[in-house]
Amino acid sequence: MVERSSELPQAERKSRTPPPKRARWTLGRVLAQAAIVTLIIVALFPFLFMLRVAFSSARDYLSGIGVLSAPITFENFAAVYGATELGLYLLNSLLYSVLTTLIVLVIGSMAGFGLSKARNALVRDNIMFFVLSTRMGPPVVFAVPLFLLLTSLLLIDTRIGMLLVYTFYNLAFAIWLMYGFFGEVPPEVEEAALLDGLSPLSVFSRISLPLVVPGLMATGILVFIFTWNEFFFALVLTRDVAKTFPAMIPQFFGAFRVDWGQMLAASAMGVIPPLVFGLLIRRYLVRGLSLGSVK
Amino acid sequence: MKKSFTRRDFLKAGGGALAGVYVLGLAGCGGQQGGGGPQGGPPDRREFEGETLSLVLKEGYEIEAIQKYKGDFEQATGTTVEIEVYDEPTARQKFILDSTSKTGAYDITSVSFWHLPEYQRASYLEPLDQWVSKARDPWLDPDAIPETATNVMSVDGELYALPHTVISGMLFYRDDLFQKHGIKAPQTSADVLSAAKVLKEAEPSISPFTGRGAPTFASLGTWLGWTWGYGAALYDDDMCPQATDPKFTQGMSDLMTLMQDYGPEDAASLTFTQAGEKFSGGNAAMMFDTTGFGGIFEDPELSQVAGKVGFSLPKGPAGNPMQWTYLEGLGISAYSDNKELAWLFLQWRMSDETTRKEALELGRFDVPNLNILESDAYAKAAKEKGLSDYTEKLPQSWENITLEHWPFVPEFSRIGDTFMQQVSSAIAGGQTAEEAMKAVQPKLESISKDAGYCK
Amino acid sequence: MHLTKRHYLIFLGPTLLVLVVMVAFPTAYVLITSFREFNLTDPAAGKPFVGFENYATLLSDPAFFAALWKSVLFTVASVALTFALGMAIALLLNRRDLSGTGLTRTVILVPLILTPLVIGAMYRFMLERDNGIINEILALVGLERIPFLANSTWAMISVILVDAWQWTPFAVLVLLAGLESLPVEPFEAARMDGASRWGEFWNITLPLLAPVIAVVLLIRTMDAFREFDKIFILTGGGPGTATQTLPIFLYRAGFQDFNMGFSAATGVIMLIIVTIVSSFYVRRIHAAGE
Repeated sequence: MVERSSELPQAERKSRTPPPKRARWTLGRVLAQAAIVTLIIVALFPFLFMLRVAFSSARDYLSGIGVLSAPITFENFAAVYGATELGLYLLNSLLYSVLTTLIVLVIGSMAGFGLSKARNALVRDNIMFFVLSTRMGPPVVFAVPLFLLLTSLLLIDTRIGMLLVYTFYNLAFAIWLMYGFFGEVPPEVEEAALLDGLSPLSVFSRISLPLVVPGLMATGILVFIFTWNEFFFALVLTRDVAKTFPAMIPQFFGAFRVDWGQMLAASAMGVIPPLVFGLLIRRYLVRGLSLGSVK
Repeated sequence: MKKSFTRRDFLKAGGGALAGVYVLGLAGCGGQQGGGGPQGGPPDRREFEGETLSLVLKEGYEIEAIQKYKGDFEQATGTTVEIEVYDEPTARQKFILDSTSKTGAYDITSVSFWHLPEYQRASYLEPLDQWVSKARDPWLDPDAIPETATNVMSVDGELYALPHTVISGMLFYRDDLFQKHGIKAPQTSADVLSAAKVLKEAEPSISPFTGRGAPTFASLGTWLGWTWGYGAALYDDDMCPQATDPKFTQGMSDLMTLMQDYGPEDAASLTFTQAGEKFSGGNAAMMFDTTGFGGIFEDPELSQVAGKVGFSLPKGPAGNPMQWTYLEGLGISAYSDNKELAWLFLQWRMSDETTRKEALELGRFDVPNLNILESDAYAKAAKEKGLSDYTEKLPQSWENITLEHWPFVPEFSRIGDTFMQQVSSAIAGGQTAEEAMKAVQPKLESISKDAGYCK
Repeated sequence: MHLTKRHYLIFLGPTLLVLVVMVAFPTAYVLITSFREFNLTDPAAGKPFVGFENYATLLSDPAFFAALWKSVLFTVASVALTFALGMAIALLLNRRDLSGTGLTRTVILVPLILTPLVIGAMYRFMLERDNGIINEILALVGLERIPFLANSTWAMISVILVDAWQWTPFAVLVLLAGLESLPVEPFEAARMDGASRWGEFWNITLPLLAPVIAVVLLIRTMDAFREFDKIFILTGGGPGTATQTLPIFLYRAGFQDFNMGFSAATGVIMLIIVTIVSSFYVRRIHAAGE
């Protein structure tokens, strides 16, 4: 007996729920449809507007609504590439996001697995709480001690230093997610493997891990995005060599005037990778977001 | 028997690692103050070939010349110059954090005069007097720098930064509107008030006056500078606040009237950029602010009122010229390990050759090099841009500079924020200056007490 | 399965190593610093231990309580808004009789993926009084321009709305996933009994969704409480201190005044608050999950 409609294949699902009121445009349905359209506009407008400004000249985007019909120009992009190290910063962002994701997935899945098998609920809960608490404080609180720590280790403005920081930054979240994903693996499969003589480590790597690949992808994409978007640590802990894309945004905010065009051009380029990546594997993204909440 | 992981084991492991890291952290700390003093005699410019200088700069029009012409310096010395530019608060953060860790990652930093007491107290800057006397390169002509500027950039008589921006108070007004309505150019605070009254009737669509009202320390200069014209300062010689002093309150009251009754409706939130935009956009007839705006207002690319602007250096009832003091310069980090080269750079930056190009090629007419200001080429260029009226008043405006009205102490930003928050909400809420000053006096008193002043 | 101590060490070792180094040290540092008085711009004054003086100053500082209030206001408003909107939109997207729901599900990912700092910068431009596109549109339809970021009240509203804009999609997706995994029977039974749409929602949907809702509220509350990037770039805590939430207050104390002891104390108090609030939620979730 099927429990949930989501377990049915798409075609059958429709027949299980009451048939849609075909072609009956009640006021309620009209409003609902309008709401959908509004939703799409509201969600997309700021981003599209950002692109519009990025492709406009200063005179145009400072003239209010006229910017919507202004001619397209690439001058902002050219200026940003010429005057700043945007390329380097984007590369750094990419480096950190990819590497951190890999590192965190390895360490985090191991920890998530270990914790999900823990017998002693008290210890497990305590460790989980400790892990979770690392995610509770705003980065501002930890910025200065981390700055001093990295300074004493001579890791300020180094890529290794930032990788360390970002690993810690994401680890708690990854562990929490993987803990949940491993919890969904039917224990019989693992028990069977144990009886067959596999060590727990092998069970982990050969049985459990393959079963949670969707979970790994979900966790991975989220870690990637969070790392890419991180701002404050990057601002304080880097200078120029290891700087990331978000950390360069404040420099467009001059005292006399703000260089909106260049800033939004840089922003446009900076948000493309996670957007593309996220939208491509959005199914996993959604899974990752909803895990831990829906059993 | 298999043992399961107990809580104690976990705590042991954690505690050990924690202790180890803490010790590591402590051990790693600590550096020393870098390099020795000047060697004596003008340095050989090529002595430091192959070295690199690191600069942390606050963004602004004054660093354009550095960014554009640093190649000249690099060629003359065979060195590399690396620049990091940030907005003011971030630049200050970076420098302070770097100084705290004593690594000397930055050799040179921008120094806004109002942070000078703070930097000096912390000994983050290299004192420059002995460098000026013992290691002067022909690039530097000390007489070319306005004397008031070097005074401001000094603490207890010792110079800490070479000024490259000198800004003073100035009143900008719409010459065309004044002529149209037969109002004479305002030379005193009373003139400003009467002109505002006339303009309010005559030109209802334009705010007669605009200025900074935003509740941050960046607006403090307007209010303290204006009241200086009344012979009043916010603090006395013992750093005791005297906001309720009658002369001070009178000055505040006049300016408050200008902002409330004759200012734009969002006067209480105007930063200097926004106030400037009011004027340059043709929405305000007068603005009391800094000389830094001169070039901007007369530039047809940036301003809609270019060619219609008049400039004056107004005085208050006490005969004092109204102030808007802001200075900025370059300083050398006390932890730099290449101070000789850094000092060379500071001198190059203010050299005649660099500042001449800055004025003529980059159009920065208020560059504080008196040699340049007195040159024919400069006068000619100013005439072409319609700026002669402005440039002729510049040297006088610099001579007017005094710091007597200013809380030149490390706590200035807190003082400024507290004071301006009160003033700003008074403007917005229609309060009188008397009420605002009464309310802010106790707050300023507690700041002074906490800092150990005003015993 | 039985895991020996050695196994635990292998699985959890790397994690504990990273966390202890990168978290325990800074936390200990912050804790210890909160008992000291020191200012980075006054190294000569040293770092004397002053016991609970920083906390005392903090707890008698009206600015701290104002910041605390702003944080509470921001968090509650943003979470409530996000949840209400999220629930409504999730129900909307769960319907079968509308077109474009698939596209919507994709499109709402955009606010979630965009860099918060960039979002803040974008909105700062769009909300400008004189040239911002939002005000231009208002003016076009004959409405008065609103000083979104220059007026104290509007600034707080704006900051809440921007946060909601970014995070409502999260609530939507999670609640939607929850809705889709609800069992079918109760609804069929209710329909047969002739229950109204509203009654169905109130009496069946909500209770069944309770654990999911709790998780959404927990995550959103924790994140809203520590929100920094967007407020930082949108208003910087201004005008004045109108949008100065605790993280901004902490930032100013630590990175503008460089008063390390004071900001550390603020940080400790923040951590305590978050711990209390989230343990409350976590207990609820555990209870629901068992």
